[in-house]
Amino acid sequence: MTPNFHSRPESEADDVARAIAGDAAAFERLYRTHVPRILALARRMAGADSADELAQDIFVRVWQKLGSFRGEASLATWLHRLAVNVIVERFRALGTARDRFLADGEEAITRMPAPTEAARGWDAGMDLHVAVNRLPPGARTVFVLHDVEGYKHEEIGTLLGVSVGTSKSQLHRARMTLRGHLSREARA
Amino acid sequence: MSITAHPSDALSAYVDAELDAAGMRAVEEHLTGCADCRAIVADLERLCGHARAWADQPATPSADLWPGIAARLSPRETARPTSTGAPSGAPVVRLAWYRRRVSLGVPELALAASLVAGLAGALVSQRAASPARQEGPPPVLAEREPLDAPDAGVATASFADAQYDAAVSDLERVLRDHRQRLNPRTVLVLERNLRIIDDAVREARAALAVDPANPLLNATLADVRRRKLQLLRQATSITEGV
Repeated sequence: MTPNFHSRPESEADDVARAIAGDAAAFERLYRTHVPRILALARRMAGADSADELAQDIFVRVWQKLGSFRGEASLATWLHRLAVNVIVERFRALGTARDRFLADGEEAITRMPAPTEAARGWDAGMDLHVAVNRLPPGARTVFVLHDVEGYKHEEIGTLLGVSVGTSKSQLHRARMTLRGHLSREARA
Repeated sequence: MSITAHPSDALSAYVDAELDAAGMRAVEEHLTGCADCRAIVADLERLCGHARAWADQPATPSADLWPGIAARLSPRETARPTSTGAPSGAPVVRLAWYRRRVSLGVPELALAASLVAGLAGALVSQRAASPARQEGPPPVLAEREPLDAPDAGVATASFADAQYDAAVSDLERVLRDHRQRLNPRTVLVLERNLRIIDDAVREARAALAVDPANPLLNATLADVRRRKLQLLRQATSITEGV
């Protein structure tokens, strides 16, 4: 039987050590193990159009920073944090995070349906991915970081350079906007 | 405390249990009498449930992203061989990052990298043995000396293959014709280093055949070829001056 390169029974810790030492084959194994979740994160935060490019940037950064991985958290957790940082840096490069978060808040409010306007029961057939894509960038980022990725408001504030209060209000606006989108989808 | 107006801004915090005890009690009290806010809370709870489940869904790349990543990986400064079969402890520079890996071990890489300095020593010795050269400082090659500065008397090389090959061929011919003027030890060092360079060129070309766009490979090949040209120029200039 021909050995399968990508399923060699080597531990992840071995591959981390090898990759730190410069072994690109070991790094490729780490990449193949973790790319599905990193790519999913990039798609959630930045959309499908730029996710592939972001995922590549993330793994190049991982290669550069792997020597600082101390094993205090799991590699998956360390990768996730690093990936979020790379994505937020990209947002900053496109326009300061603070401006993004303050600017799109009012837009989100105007799109937010009043409580009595929202339809009941949108659960069936809901496409969260599509609905999140329609959110303004700031609200989308806070929603993904808090509700999907599990970050605390304090962490989001530090990452994005906004106050905890801004993070909380953006989250609420994002949720209410999503509820409106999903309600309309359910009615359609 | 009782809330009579819709506590819209507090509903997310209520769902996340981030209100203090008094705030939680106040919202609960409002919810008992407000169907609209109960519906919002129910929707937000469902939304949060969907969001958490979304985190567990992996994605598949639309195309293999690895080649693009591999092409951008910078070599480690202290790269050690782990899967190339190179001798243990030998520093390795990976010339290709995927599909095919080419490694130059100590004999090739170290000598190729220090080629100019190493040969310069031999050539300096040769020049120092010549009475005509003893009055001046030895012409040691500076590491950052322009590598493609044109020399009088030989073809100026570009790195288009035909012109480069013609320049190299010209210099090799001059060197062959005048090698008897060089110290035999110098000739040995020169020939060994030229073989090393030629091996490095062959390996880089073979790797580029598999991975033609790899910037590291292209830079490596260009550098090795420049070094060969420089070495030949230096050697021929010595033979002509002895």
